[in-house]
Amino acid sequence: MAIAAKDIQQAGTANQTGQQNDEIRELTGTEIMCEVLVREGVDVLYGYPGGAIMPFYDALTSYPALHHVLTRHEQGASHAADGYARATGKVGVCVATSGPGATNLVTGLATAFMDSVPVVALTGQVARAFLGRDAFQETDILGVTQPITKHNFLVRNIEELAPIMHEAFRIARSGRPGPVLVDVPKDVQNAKAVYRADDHITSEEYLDSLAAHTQAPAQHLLLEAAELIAQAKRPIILAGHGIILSKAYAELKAFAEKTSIPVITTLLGLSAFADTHPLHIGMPGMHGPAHTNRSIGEADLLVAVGMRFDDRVTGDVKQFATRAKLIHIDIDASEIHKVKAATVPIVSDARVALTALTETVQPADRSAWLQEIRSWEAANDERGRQIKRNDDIPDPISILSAIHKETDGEAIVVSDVGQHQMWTARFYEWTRLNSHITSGGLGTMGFALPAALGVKMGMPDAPVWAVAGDGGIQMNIQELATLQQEGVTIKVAIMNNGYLGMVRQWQQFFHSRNYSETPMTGPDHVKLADAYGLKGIRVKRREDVESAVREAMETPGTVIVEFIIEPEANVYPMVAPGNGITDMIEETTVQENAENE
Amino acid sequence: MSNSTIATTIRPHHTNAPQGTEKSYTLIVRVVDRPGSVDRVVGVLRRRRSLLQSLTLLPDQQSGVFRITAQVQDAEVVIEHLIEQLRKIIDVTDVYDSATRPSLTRELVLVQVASNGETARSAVAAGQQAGATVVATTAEAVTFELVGSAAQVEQLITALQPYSILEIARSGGVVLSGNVVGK
Repeated sequence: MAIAAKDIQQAGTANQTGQQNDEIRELTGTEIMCEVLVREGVDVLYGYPGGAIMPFYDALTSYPALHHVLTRHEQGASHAADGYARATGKVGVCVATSGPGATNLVTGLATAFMDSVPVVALTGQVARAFLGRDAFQETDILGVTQPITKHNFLVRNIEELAPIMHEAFRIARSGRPGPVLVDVPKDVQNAKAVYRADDHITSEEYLDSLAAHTQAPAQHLLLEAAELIAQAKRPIILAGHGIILSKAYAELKAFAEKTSIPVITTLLGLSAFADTHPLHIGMPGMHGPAHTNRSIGEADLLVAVGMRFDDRVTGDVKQFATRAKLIHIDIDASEIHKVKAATVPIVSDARVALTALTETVQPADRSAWLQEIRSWEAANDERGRQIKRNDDIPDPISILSAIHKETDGEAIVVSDVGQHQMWTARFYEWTRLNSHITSGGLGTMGFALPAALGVKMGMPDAPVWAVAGDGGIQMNIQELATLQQEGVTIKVAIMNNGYLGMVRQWQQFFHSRNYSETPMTGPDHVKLADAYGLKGIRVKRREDVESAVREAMETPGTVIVEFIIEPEANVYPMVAPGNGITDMIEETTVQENAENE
Repeated sequence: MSNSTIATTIRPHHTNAPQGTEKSYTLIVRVVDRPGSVDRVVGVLRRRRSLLQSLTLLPDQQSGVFRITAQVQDAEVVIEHLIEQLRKIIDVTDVYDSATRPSLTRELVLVQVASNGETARSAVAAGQQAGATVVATTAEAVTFELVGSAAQVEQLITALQPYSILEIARSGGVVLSGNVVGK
C-alpha cells in the first residue's frame, strides 16, 4: 500500500511539472480529483469524511501537498473555505460526504453565493446504480443547491471527471465569482482513467488568456460617463465588493483622487478604500451614518462600482437617490437596471473599467461638496455620543478601538451577524486593504469563527480577530476544537449582552418592547475556552478592555475574550425597514420617546 | 424600474408589472443537456416570478442540446432582466426574445368534441371552417387537428365552443428564427 501510494504521488509530481514520460498510467477517480486540486494550486481543503466520500479520503493521504483540515461540522468547512477565499482571492475548497454531509454545506454555499465568493465544494454521492432509489445517505444535492450555487455538476462517468473538476475552478473564479459544487458518485471515484495534465488548462491559465483578450468598455460609454462626471456638482462613488474581488484598490483611489469624488463603501466594500482617506465618507444604508445617507439623497450622480443596490443599502428604492443619475459598473449584466435604472450601464470588471474611466475623465476640484458633507458629519458627532453612555462597562467602540490599536490596524477582522457586526463595520477604522470579512448578503450567524479559521490559514502572518455576539458564537462553537487541533491562532472577541441583540432592538423599536425569545443565557466562556484547551478572558470593566486585548495578543494560541456589554445597547442610527434612507432613527429621538412614555 | 410612479398590476405570486406594459414574449433558450441544466432554466423562470404561459422542451438539431421555448407574460424591463438571468446559467448556450428576430411561430392543437349523428356534420363543418382537419372519428366523438399560429388555435377553440369539448391538447409554441420573412 505504501509503495503504491508513493508511485501515485510520483506520477502526480511528474504530471504537475509536465515531465511525464510516455508511459500512460490509469488513475482512480479520486486520484484524478487530487491531481486536479494540486494543479489548480489548492494547498488546503476543509472537510469531513463519510461513507460516499471515503475513496477520496483514501487517496488524499498520498498527496501531502493537499493539507486537509477536519472541521467539526460540514457547515464549518464551507465557511472556512469561504473565509480562505475572501482573504486570499483564491478558490476555497470544502469536502463532504453524501446526504447529511452535503446538506450541511448548504448554509455556507448560500453565504458564498450571495457574496460572490469563489468556492468549490466536492461531495460524495451514492454509486450510480443507487441514484434515485432513496439509498442510504442519498440526497439530490444538485437539486438542493441549484439556487445557491453558480453552477453544479453530477459527474456521470470517469471520462468527464477531470474536465469537470477543472471547469469547476474556472467557473468559480471567472466573471462574477461564486460557489460550484461537484457531486461524484462513489463508483466514479473508484473507476479508472488516464489523466494527462497537458490535456487540460488550469483556471489560472484560462484567466490569464481571458485577461489578455479583455477589452476596455466601449468608448462611447466611457465618453458618456465622463460627460456625466464633468457636469456633476454633487457626485458620489458607491464602492462595493467588486473592488475587492477584482483587486481594484489602486484604480479606485486613482479615479476618486483625479475626480475628487467622495467615496462611500458598502458593507462588503469596507476596507476597499481606507477609512482615513480624506475622500472617504462612510457606509450607506440601514445603519450608515446620517451624513453618508444624506449625501446620497443630495447627490446628482452616483458612480456605482461592483455593488448591487441591496435593500439594506437603498431602503425604499422610490426614495433612494431621487436626484441622481447613475453610472453603474458591474461585471454581472443581470445586476444592471435590476434595482435602479442606469443612465450609463458598463458591464465590466471593476479594475478594467476604472482604469479606462480614469484615463477618460478630466481632473476636477469638488472640495465645496466634500466640505458640505463634512459639515453635516461634524454637526452630528455620533461617535462622541455613543462612547459617552455608561462609561464604566465595556462598549463596542472601545473594544474595536483597542483591537485596532493593539494590532496597529494590521488585523483582519471577521465579524458574525447582528449588532456587533454593524458596530464593527461602523466603528473599526478600516485602514488595511481587504481586512473586513463578513457575511453580508445572506447574514449568516455562525459565520465568524469558522471563516476566521480559513482567513488565518490564508493569511498566516496577519493577526486575525473574530468578532461575534453571544448568540452567533454558539452556532459554530465546535470549530474551537479544529483551531486547537490545527494549532491555528486567532483571537475571538465575544460581545455578550445576554440577548439576541439585533432582534431585541427591532422588538424595542417596532414591537413595543415585546422581547419574545431574545433573552438568552450562555455558557461560561472562560470555562468553555478551557475545555477546548484554549485561554479565556472575561472583561467587565471599560478600563480593562485595552489590557485584555493586549493580553490576548501576547498569549500564544487562540484566545477568547468575552466582553460583558450593556444589555440593551442599540445600533444607531437606524433606518426602519421600508423607509427612505434619509429617514433615520437617531439615538436622541428614541430617548425622547422613552421619556415621553 | 426604480423611481417609478406608474401604478402596477398586482399579480399574486408573479412580478408586479407596470400597468399596461404586460405583453406576451417568446423566449428561445438553448441549453446543454446535463444533469440539472433544464431545472436551472425552469428554476430561474419560476423564481423570477414570471407569468409562464407555456413551456416546450425538445432536443435541438445539435446533439446534447435542448431547445426550450417559453412564453412569458410580462413587462419589457422584466423580460430584459430575465434574459440576462438566463444568460448567466453556465449550461445555457443561447437565449433570445423571438420578437427581436424574424421568426415563424407554430403550435399544434388537438381538440376532441362529443358528437352524435345529429351534431357530427355541423361540428366537422365548424372545425374545417376554422382550418382544422379531422384526424379521428368514433360514434361518440370527433377529433380535430390544427397547426397554426396561437391566434388560429384560439379561433378553432372558439368555433368549437358550441359543441361539447371533451379535451384540448396544445403543444405550446415552437419558433424558428432566421431566413424567414414575416408570418
